[in-house]
Amino acid sequence: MTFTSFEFLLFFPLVVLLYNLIPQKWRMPFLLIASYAFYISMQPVYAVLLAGVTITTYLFARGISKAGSEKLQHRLEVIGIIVVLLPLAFYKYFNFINETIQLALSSVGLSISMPHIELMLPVGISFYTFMAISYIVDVYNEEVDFEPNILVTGLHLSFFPIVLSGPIERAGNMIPQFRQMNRSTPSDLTAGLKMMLWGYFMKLCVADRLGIYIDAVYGNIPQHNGTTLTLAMLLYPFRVYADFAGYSLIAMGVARCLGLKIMQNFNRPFFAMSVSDFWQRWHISLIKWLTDYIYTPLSFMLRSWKMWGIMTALMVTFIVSGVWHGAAFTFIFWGIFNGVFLCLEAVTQKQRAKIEDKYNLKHKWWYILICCVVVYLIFAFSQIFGRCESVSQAFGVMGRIFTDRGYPFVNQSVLYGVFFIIILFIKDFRDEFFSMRFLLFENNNIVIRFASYLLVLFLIITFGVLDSTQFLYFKF
Amino acid sequence: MVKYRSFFIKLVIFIVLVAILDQIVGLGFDYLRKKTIQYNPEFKTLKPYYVVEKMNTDIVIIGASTASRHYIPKQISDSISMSVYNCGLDGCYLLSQCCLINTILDRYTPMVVLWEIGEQSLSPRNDEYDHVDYFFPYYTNKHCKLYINAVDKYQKYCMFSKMYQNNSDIDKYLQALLDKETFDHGYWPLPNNGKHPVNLGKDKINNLVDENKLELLDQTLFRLQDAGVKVLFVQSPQYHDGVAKVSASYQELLSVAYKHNIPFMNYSNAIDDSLLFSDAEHMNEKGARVFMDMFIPSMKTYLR
Repeated sequence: MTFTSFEFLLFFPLVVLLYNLIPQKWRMPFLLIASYAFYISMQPVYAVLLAGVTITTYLFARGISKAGSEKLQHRLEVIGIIVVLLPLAFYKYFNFINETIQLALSSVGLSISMPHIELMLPVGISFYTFMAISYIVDVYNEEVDFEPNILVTGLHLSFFPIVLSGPIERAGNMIPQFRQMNRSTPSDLTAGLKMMLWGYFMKLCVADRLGIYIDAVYGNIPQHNGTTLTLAMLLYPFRVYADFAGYSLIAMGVARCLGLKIMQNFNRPFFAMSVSDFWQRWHISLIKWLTDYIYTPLSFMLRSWKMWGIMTALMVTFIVSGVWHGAAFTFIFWGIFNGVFLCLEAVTQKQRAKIEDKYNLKHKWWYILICCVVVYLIFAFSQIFGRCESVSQAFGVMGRIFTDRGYPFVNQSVLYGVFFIIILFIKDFRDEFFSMRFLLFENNNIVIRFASYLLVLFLIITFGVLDSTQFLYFKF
Repeated sequence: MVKYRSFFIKLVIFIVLVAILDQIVGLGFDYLRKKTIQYNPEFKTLKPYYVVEKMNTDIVIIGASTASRHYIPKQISDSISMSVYNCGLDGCYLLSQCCLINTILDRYTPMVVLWEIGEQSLSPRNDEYDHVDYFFPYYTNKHCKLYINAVDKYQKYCMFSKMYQNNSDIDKYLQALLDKETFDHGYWPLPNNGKHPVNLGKDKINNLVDENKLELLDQTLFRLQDAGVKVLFVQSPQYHDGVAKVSASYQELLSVAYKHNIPFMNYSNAIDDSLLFSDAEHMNEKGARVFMDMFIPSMKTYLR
């Protein structure tokens, strides 16, 4: 069962209805059972792994909270992080590490066969592992209190709207809400359903329509010319954005229908004016996690290196981000690519700020447009590494984009996709620059609100790709 | 409580509006489909609808992409003085073909059915329902309903919605309104590019037989026989490595043909000139003409 399956359309209203009908003290266990039922419907066996990670996290957090000394707390924190990371390392990186070792040894003339195991990646493992680590660290840093009820910890790590693809929520936000478990209010239900409606539009109309075209191109790269590859490269960021932000919006909407608020994961990233601004708008929960648990401690540790320390911390953070996204050199290159641009920005920040202030550039529309386009192109190029199967293939695609011209391959999917991108772009543009004007979903007039809901629903059912395609970030 | 009541009243009103919109959209698409078939009946995106609603020729050619690319109606009708329509639909396999024939028989009785069949026709396939949406507008027809509902257990609930039934259809009608491209009675030729096909196809030995397909094929053939329709099974040429026909699916097909006294004309290894093929499964236009020259005399013998 996924958000786009028919079963979810039955599961979700049933869960919301029962949640609001049962007594308050039973809501938390009920949601826990519903969350595990949701997870088991996808991968029954790996629900055991999820439970195992939950129990481990709980025990280590308990140990930290009860430890008598700072030294013991620190040891438990480190061991807890390692133990929680072990399943992720095994399922996601075991084969990659062995293949890399094999490659390194063969390059120096040593031929050794490393073990290779065919494993299915447990869905959501990257997300709930990071949530578990953040809980352990936050308990150690006393940013959150240890939660003595293991069922609450279990719900925090398995909460069904976010377990599969995030957002990577923090215990400090979720656990207090799980303790309360208030009934949904009508405004919760309305807001939640609106978020879900727009999320489904993004996923089914924008992401999946573009996906048909992009997958056709990337699935047969040698057959397509550079112009087609350029078009696919330019459309891919929108596909990823619509897919992942759409999922996040649906997750937020589902949680909101239950009276629970989860963090926003995307904030109109294509209006960013710099790469650093972009990474504060894109996959916010992951970047915040990386900032709080890797970049900030590392940059503090390396503060004596001054700018070199900041750059080192940035590169390490983004290499970790790349590795988190996938066990392949393409993702490491992706991380390095983005890290390099962030370093360039960090180094030139003072000079750029001086020029921008001198000429008041940040209030000039053409400067804003140029910045947004440049940032978009940088991200689009980095995504070539994310989409290709190998680094050499990615470089090959990049080369052909600049050298191989011809008439582009276009099908109706890309025409649909571009039409829906325009709708999405207009909506984001309005949210970014005219947030209190041209209201549709939030209009005071009920006729306009209902008409806009009906229009979006019409677009989803009549033009959306309805054959239960996967969300892209499930593979992480 | 007042707020909850107000919310639920608005929700009910919204659901009613959705139901009304759904019906209006359905009526709109029905009207659009009928108008475009009238305006541009031979247009490629309208072929399934034209076949189900309008086509009424003496000879009907049924099959998947090999049928639509290999059989030239004009060449057949010129030699036999009977009207011919190529109902071959890309990506539509046996279950879909049976549904199509039964839907045609509900409307009129052709004299002959030329059925392009392959040795894997009775084997299970993952893409069996890829084009089930062709039959969505005809859900009230019992054969279409049976085929559509077999997709999965929730399909019948989705079919309550007219918007769902017409999902992704708008571009078919828009293309038909904007483009006047026509085909020869459903024949879709592949271009002669003068190149050899990329790969020699490998014969797949599949020993699985889908019992549902077998039963449906049987029932359809009985119905055709009861209606007095002459049926020919034909396997057109392939650019394959010529492995012997040993699969269970193929043997079962031979049994079915024998049981129903249907001639099985096998041309799968009849042509080995690679320049007559566009790929391992499909001949180009030149190859189709060569095949027709071989096939038509034998067909006339069987139809006497």
